[in-house]
Amino acid sequence: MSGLATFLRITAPVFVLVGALHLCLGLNADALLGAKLPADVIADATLDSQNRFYGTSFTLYGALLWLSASDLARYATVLRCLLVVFLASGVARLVSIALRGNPSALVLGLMVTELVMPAVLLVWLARSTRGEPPKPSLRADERRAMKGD
Amino acid sequence: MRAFRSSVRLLAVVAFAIAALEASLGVAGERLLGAEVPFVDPVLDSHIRFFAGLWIGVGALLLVFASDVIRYATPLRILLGSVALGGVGRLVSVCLVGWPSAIVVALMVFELVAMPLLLAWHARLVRSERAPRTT
Repeated sequence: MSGLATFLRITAPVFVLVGALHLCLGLNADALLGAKLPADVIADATLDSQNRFYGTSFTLYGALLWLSASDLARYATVLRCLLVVFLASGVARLVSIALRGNPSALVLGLMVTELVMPAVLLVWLARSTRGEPPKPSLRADERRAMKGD
Repeated sequence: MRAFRSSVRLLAVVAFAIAALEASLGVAGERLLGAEVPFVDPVLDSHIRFFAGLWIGVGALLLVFASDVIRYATPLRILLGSVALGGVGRLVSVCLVGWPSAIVVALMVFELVAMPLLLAWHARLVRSERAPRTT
């Protein structure tokens, strides 16, 4: 259990770093990954806005991985959701390849990571939490309050 | 409580709709939002679909959190905060590159105004749920 938590804590800052990179660089962050974008496309305000929005809100995943690591039993459902979504997002890159062709080698590397790591972590999580009783997530007074809802 | 849960579920539906559009259309989805991209770069297309895929996850997480907004209080706060942070990213873009299309400006206003309001509403609900009840 603690091995997985440690791994998640090591991984989480990477997401924050990627988010900060997109916040600061916008579409130039994509250029760093090998996108060949002319100056007028990089200067497109709508595309830049979308890129900075998606990139910055990407830090959500780092924060939620960190939170999940703090209590794997309590946040197992959240963590499973995150990992399945990552897997699905890797599949979305496959769709892009099928429709638009191969991206740069760096992005292909990212795609392989996105397809392999979530699967490995899902198995790791299942093995870590197997046999553990679900941890009470609410304090007694909170449960009483919920019953009154 | 019920109204807040419904609002979170509605937000999930919006996230699903926008993300599904972009995940399925890639760069063409950005054109629908007003971006002028004359060609399709595979790296850009891959990135747009990847981020959009992650946003489908945001919708899924919102649905999970809406099922029990007290149990998932902390991750829900993080999620709403990160959407607002994304709005700040858009503000940075306005400062550095200029104003995007009207629909994107509307999204930015929504992210910067609605998320803090939802956070405040949620905080009030959590406080009232956790307050000792006198019978």
